[in-house]
Amino acid sequence: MSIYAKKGTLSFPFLRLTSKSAPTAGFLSPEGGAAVTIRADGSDKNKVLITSILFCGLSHILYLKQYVKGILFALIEVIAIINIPKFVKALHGLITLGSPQPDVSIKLRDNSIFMLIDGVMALAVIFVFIAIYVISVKSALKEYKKFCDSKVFTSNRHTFSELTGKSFSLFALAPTVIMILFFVLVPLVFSALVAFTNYSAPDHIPPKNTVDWVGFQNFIDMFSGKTAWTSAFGKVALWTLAWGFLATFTCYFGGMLMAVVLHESKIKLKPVFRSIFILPYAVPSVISMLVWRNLMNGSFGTVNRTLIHLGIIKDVIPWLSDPWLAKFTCVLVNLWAGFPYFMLLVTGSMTAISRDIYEAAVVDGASKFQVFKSITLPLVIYQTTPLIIMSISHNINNFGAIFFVTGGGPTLADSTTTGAAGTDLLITWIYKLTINLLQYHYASVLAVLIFMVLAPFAIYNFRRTRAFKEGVE
Amino acid sequence: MKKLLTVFMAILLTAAFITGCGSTSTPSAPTGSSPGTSSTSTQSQKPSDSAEKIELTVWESTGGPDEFIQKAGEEFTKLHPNITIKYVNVELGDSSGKIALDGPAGVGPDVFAAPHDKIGELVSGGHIEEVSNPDYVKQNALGACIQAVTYEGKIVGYPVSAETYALFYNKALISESEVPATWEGVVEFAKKFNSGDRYGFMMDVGNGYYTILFTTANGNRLFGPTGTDTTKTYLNTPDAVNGIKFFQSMKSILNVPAADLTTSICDEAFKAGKVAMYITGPWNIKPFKDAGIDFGVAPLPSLPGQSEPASSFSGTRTMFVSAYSNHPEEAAMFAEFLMSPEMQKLRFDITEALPATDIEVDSPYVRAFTKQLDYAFPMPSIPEMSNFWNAMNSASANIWDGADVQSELDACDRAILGN
Repeated sequence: MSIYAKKGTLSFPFLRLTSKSAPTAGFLSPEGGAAVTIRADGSDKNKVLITSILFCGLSHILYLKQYVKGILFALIEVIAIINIPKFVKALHGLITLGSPQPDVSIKLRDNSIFMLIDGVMALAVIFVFIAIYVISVKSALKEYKKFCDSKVFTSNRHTFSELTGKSFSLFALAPTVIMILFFVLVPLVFSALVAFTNYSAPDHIPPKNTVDWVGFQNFIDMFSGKTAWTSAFGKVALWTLAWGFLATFTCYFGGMLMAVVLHESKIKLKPVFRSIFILPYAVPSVISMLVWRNLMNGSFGTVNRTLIHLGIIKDVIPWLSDPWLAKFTCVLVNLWAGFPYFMLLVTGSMTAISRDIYEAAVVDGASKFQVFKSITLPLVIYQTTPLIIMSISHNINNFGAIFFVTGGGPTLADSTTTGAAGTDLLITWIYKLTINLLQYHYASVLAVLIFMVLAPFAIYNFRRTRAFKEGVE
Repeated sequence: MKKLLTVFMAILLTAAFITGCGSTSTPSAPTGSSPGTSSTSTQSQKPSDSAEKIELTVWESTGGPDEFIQKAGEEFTKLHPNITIKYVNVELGDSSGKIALDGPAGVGPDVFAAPHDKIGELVSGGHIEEVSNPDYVKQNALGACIQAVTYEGKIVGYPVSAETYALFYNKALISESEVPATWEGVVEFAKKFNSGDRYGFMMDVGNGYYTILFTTANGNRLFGPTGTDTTKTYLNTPDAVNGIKFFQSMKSILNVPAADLTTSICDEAFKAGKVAMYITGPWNIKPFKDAGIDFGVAPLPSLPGQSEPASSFSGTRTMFVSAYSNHPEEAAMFAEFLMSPEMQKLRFDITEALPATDIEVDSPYVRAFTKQLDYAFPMPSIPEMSNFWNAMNSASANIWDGADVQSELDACDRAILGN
């Protein structure tokens, strides 16, 4: 109904406008019923504001004589109005997520997940429309202010020149913004919303069954409710954090050790050694991890076999079958695969340290260790801190280093229920929850959690970058 | 990180689509009951031998089955000169999704191949109907295959090939006459045989696909006799618990933690000639041959207190007559023709996949698999199956490593049913 009302206000003054042919009558004293003229003293600001709010682009057409801009804005609103039934349907779907229809053939049933995605997409589109609406209102007010200042309407031609000039950035960025909206934000919101549904096997997998909103139930299950899930989550989360730090610092200091040894000692053929040490980094890590998995196999692996033959151990070491030792194995294998990167990095920053400082230290009688402790170490750490932080957040999500070595195993007492095994990180657990167990709701809870933990890392790191700092200034 | 989440999202979405396609409706009816005792002729009703030219379109996969369909088509045309067979490549896994679109559009096949666990989806979508001559299928197909193509008491497809696992034995380490027929015998043999890194028996103990066999005593079946009971998994019944307890006791002859006994490790150990007996399927026949192992295949040993081989999971490749076919009679004739002994033999010669009917083939291995198939039961296709794998894999591994059998299987039951 309100639509008709708006259309009424649109058509009526529009006709009046065409009948009148006094383009600059604007700042003459108001005549009786001169709805299409405005005063240039700023007193008609409300008139402009209200018409621009009533219908997108209306004030541009009525008062500001900017027909091109106004019609474009109006067109957008017309498109939006035409699509209102679609939006309503999508939003209704988003709220209800469909109703169970056991009597209907599966292909015709409500698919809750499609409805959820459609709903989020509709929200994004509505958001774009609202943004355009706000822009149109702001633009109208700005134009009116300009008119008050100069007493002349901006010509339509000027609108075009503005597109390539002042507003160019807006138009150039618009596709990017829309892409980000639909390819980053919509999926993010969708996956976060799944955490508030019961999307899980066996009873809530579309299209056979529908999915329902459950509020914070999944969070309650995960953090305080069902004991199996809570304890599994506690174990996995603690190990994930421990792993993030252990994996990073073993690699970092391992790499630093190799770099310092290669740099300081009088080893001949340094480049040869450096090349050898870089090899683990050069092999695709999936391959090397799978090889390590076989090497470390407790009963049949080469490592234990060799140790037994050499007489070093009598019984096999359960590298992969003891929950604690399996964690240690993961760190060890990751050290093997990850130290070359930091070795290169530290070597790079060490060569950047001025020789003068070292010479001064030697003149002062500093020992080699003192030089390392007081000069090399602080300078290198200072330079590489952002990379350490990056590396921690990378390791927290280091799927391959766990999944291909242990597959998350060995199984624990509650693995039967939760799927979380001895060395599972949150990210490998999420994988299992989605691919093997089809417990999307819990997986989504974990994803939201990882996001909340890791976002500060990313933001901190990003804000430290030069690009950001210079961008701000 | 946003990227990672997006990737996760993509996975989620893909998974959503996959499961969207994969989840089938729940078949729920007894099978094989009241088989038609009247021994009707195996040939279906003769179609009027009119000179009308008929072309039947058949969907099958590449890599063997395509060649089989083409050759079988030529043979069929010799018998029925007015009918020709047109082969179209639609892969086994795609056919059930494609028929839903192509069938109603009128460009679908007359006969198509799909795995048996798609039957629920195909029937509830209305893409297939009951076969015109169910007795023909019942008289020819193997036990597990008949059950696999039975939906709500009706036979809806024509099984052409099957798959299950059985006991492989290395002839250099154990002679054919020594191969035990009971699991106790396996333990006894292994006790004498084990030494150093040689093992009398090996299996992937952390894999529910194999360990399910220990739960099958006295006809105890996953999700009940028909595999469609959504209220009970039958994994924690006394029969299952006793069987799994025996499974746990076998660690005495294979003292290796579950985490170390993966499928690839077992495969390699058997290839290296260090294992006398190993449970695996027909997919390993060629790799083992290539590794130069002289091996034989026997049906699974029987569980304690049982006289028949233990039951195993089976899969069945099935030909269906499309409900959209314009020549359903001729299509049914061709599907039956594919189950005839000559065609089953031809199929085996081309694809080396296990036949779905009881025929003599020239392979020392197939006999054992065929025998095992008589005792196997079709892998259930109800949605609860998606929870089965993780729960049963973990429970098996835990039990092997010493966990309490009853409580693990109870947890398994709860996890699968989603309680």
